[in-house]
Amino acid sequence: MSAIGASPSSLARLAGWNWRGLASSVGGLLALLVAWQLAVDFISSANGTIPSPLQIVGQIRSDGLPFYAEAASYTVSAAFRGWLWGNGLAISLAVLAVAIPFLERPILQLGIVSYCLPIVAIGPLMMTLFSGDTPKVVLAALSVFFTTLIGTVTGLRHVDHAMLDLVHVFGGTSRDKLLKVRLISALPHLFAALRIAAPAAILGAIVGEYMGGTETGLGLMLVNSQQAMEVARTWSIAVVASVLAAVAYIATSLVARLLTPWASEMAIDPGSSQAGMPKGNGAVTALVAGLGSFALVLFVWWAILRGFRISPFMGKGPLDVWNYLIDPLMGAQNRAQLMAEAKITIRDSAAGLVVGTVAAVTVAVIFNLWGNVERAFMGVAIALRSIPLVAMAPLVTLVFGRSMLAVVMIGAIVTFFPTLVNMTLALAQAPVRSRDLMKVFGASRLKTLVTVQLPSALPALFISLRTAAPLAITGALIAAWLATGKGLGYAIITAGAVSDYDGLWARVALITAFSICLYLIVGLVERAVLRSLSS
Amino acid sequence: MPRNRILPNVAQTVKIRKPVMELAKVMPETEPQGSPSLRTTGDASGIVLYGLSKTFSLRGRPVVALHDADLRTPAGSFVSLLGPSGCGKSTILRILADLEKPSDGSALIHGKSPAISRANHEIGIAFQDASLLAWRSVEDNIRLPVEISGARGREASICDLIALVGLQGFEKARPAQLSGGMRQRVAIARALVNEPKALLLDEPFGALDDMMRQRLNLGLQRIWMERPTTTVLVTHSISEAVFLSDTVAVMSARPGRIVATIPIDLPRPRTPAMMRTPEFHRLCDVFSELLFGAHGADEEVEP
Repeated sequence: MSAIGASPSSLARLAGWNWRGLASSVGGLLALLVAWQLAVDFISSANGTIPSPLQIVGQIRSDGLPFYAEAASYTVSAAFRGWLWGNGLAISLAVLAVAIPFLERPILQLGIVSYCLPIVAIGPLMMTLFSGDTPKVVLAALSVFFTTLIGTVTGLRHVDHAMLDLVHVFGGTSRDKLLKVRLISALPHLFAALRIAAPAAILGAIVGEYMGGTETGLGLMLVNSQQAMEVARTWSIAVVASVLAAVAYIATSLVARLLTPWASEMAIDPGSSQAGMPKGNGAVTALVAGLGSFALVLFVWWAILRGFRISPFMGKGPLDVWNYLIDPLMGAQNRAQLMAEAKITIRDSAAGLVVGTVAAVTVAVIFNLWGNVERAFMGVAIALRSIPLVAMAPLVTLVFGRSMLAVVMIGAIVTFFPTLVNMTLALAQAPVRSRDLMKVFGASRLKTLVTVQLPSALPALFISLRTAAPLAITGALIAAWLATGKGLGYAIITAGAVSDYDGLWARVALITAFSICLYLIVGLVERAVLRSLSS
Repeated sequence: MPRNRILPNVAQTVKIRKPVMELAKVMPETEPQGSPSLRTTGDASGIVLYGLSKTFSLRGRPVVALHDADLRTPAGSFVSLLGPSGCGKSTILRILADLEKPSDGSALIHGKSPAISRANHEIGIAFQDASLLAWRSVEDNIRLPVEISGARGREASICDLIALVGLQGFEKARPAQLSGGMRQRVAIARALVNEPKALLLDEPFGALDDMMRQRLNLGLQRIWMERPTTTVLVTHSISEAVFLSDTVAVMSARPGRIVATIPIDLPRPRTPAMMRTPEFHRLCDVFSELLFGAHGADEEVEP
């Protein structure tokens, strides 16, 4: 009971949802903008690659709103269709997973695979398979699928069992339990997922447009103006895209508040995103489950190719990829080539993930030690978390050049904001009683942080790492393509361009396998660490 | 025996099924099912437990939550299950609510199985946690059992119940806007709205402070006297059990079992003043001795 009373108010405080918090956030945002303006005017504009806020506003004015509005409407339309498809599919599958326990595991595993599919790698595939808007819509749908699936499953599953007991004792049937309790108490979780889904769909559509094959759209304009070195315009487009994503996020939040005003009064367990992780205890169970999901993925791959009647010339199945790798004539060379590319991508994504996580934890600790800093900048951080930063890769390339630095920066930025928000919330939510105890014992603020708050924030750190890992890979792929021209990201694009379909599918399969492995490894480390802490 | 000297009228009606120590020694599986002569007797028109046992499996090991419980109460009576945590009192309540199935023995409410009573919407229940639906207002929460049973024409009784539990003016409030005591009152009103034949209360005021608890217990007695309903109250408070009950079943843990069934013959309505009488204290002492002196009690109280 007391937990229900305490947590929403602290969340509201952190998210800046009251008036004072809002004022602090606006103040923090203004301070950032002024600092940006002054830095560009008086210190450096990084060789003219960073315009000041006023220059960006000037560019938008001189281009005129219709210039952006047309492209934006194109992007938003594709994003919205993807949002509908992705969420519709995710919610239906989630209900199926909860209704038929036998199906839960495979459905959740498919969800994880879909999350680990780097959309940048899928893009060129979609371009070969579909025409028109379809690739963009598919990518947008793919971007929202996993979070909504997990959110809905968690919501449906996470019922207060006393409520179900109550309906049971009053003579209620399973239908009563579903309609009067389960579906309604799932809504807050569903809305939490949909809120993330709105900007994610825009991200998917924008990345889809990077691939070309479209007349206009924000993504296409972003890449074109970056390559034409139109600095101010590139930034303007990025700002427009960010504002769109923020508006989508806020609109979903408002709808959620209107429809479920009681949501903040219910305890939502933040640890529930463990859902979908391998649960088996023994190594054998884990191995069998792993092999099972591997077979499942291969089957779905094959089934999609067959189901959509995709020509075998362009649509290669698992067997084609296998043959590509063990071909007596070219196999050894193909394998060596793939390995060399994969090494670069693994290095890039790991570097981005590590740098981003370390930076995020550091800033979260600073936030925690100095409450004023947190109040001023947490609002900005939450806003930036909801913006599809992977889509900002052209911007990063513009500023940092075609170097390793740009690659690391893309991965780090993608990792930084979600981890920062998660860690700040987790540090603030460390058990108050333990903190009071430390205070009474005369421990310093830092000592309390190290002995109580950081350990209790570990689960949040792992959740952030798992969430960020596939994003960091996507970042590395985009960076390879836009900035360095090395690694799997670039090879996927060129393979698509020269119609090397075997090579294309092999690389997409490899990067997806790598992404899933990273996700699972973080999950395994997480389980080992948390278990050793709790026992 | 000392107990007889203190309370001759009560001790004569104390029914202790078996010497406690002997029971503990031979538990759990080797103990034979009690012969009929040892079973409790009396009016069985209300709640009946007959050799009720429940064994859970905890990490592959069987844990006896309840062993061979017997109880008979007349219809319309108020019985409390009193005991320490882990004595199986909530297990009995959950079996009566058809939330658990017994491993052995049977439970009846008014001669019917809990499953049938439940399906007929004849049971009202309140838990220690109010378990209100966060998205429903006070009156919509109270209406929930009516929606489930499909009973008609209950709007007036919802109004009456809100008045009865003193929540006028809060009809449209959501649970989060209420205090803990108010939430429990909503839960009690919800338990009563279908005019249940049996009322099951699992420490409904257990999480509240003593003063609030006393006030709500007085209210509960008033409601119960207006419409005598077969009631089972689970509690670990001796004074609460004595204050409210017609019969108190004293339970003991490891394994959970009923060690004594004692009628409370204080007149009704019972008042706070009555709680300060020697009579009330003597009754409480009897239960204290049963509960806390259980392991030292090697003497036998014959019926």
